[in-house]
Amino acid sequence: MLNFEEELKNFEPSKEIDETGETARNRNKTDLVDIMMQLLKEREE
Amino acid sequence: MPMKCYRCGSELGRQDICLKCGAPLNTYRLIVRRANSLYNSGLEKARVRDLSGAIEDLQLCLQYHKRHIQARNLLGLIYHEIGEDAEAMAEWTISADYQPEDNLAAELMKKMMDSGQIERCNTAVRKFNHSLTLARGADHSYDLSLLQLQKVLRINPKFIRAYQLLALIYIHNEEYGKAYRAVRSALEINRSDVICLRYRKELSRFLGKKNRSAAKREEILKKANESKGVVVPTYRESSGIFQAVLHVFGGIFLGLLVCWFLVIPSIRQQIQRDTNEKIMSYGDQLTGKDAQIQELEARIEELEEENTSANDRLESYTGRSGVIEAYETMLEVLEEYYNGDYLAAVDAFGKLEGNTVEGSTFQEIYQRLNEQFSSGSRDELYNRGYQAYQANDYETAKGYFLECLEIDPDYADAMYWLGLCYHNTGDKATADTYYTRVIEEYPDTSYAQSARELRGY
Repeated sequence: MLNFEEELKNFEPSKEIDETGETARNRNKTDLVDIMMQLLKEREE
Repeated sequence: MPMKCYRCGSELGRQDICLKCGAPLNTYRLIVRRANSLYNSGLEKARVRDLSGAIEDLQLCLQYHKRHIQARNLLGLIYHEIGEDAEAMAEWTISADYQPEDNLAAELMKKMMDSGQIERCNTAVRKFNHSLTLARGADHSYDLSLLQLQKVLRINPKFIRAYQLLALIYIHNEEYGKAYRAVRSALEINRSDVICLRYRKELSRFLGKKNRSAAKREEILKKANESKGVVVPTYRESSGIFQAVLHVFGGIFLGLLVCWFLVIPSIRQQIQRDTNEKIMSYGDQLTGKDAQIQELEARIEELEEENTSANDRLESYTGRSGVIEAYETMLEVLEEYYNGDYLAAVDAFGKLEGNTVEGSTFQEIYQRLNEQFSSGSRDELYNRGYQAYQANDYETAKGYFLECLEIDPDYADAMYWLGLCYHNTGDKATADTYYTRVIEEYPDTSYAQSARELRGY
């Protein structure tokens, strides 16, 4: 049985497209290639 | 798409190191291979509309290799497909940053901007957020929230989260059929949407129960009919003219009923609407006319005031105390003065009001005459009266002395000679009056002595 109130809490407000810049910045995180490069750099040092 | 060196960006061959910068490539190749594998999986899932699965794979792909342009562009496209345009634009923006040239993301963003889709999406997002606020609000405005969500889906029919919220509220309102349709529409876009799949499962319980209860009802009804021997009506071929006539009259009767309950009320409403519009139109016209009348009345008052003002000004020129009258009196004074009739000039000057005319020339002449008649007039009148008396012209002399006393009532000389004038013209009683005044008011003068002698005591 669905709990309406609980289900409703799961909904988040949507973002408008004007907020794209901030969203993009948050999205551009470190990837595995960055980690690999960091490890190689540390080993070289 | 050829693989590029993570360090210098040059294209790579099959070697284990970059020939340009010497960077080791073994681990990098493993990572890129895994990223490519995830991208391919995501693409396959997207093709069969398993969009949730595709999103998971592509996000994982980008955690391996964030510069995977195709994966990022595809992820943006999937976000756009499920109505999350802000997310889509974010992915495409990052993609365009990593690879400004020859990138599908730039074209997609341009299309969005040129078609005005961004504004529409923003409007849909605002309405969705509003509907969410309404649903979560203390007063639980679910009906208003539903209306907002319906508008959202008219603007952006692929907005999965709007379908989810719509379905949830319908379920809460126990409108399971509508909830099911919303869920179905969302699953047509993304067949692996977890929330919609859960709602559908929940709905199948209710709808299944409903179907079962309907079937059970039919069965019970059938059994009851059989047990009571009720004859179930069956279709029979009609025959006979009586039945045909009955059908015709029945049709006419039904037509009349339709007219009475549907057509006539509609006509009445139309007539009522037309009448109301006419009344409102007449009301507007009346209001307009009233305004015109008020305006005209105001204009009349204004004109009347102007007319009164003009009349006053005219009166100030032509009236008895007007400017023209003042000039005429002034001319009379001057004429009498130059003719030598000093007495008449003084008389005329007495009628003149100095402040009637403001002109400088008039005022200058007035002041000169005023000085002449006020300071020197008494003596001048006295001298003229005396000369007339000496010439035995007692009447003229009387006039001068009277005028002299008008100017200076305490002038003893004039009183005495005036008494003599009356004395010589035979008016002894009046003469005595003036003698008495001289004797009583100026007892020590020579005039008093003479007066006493003339009176005889």
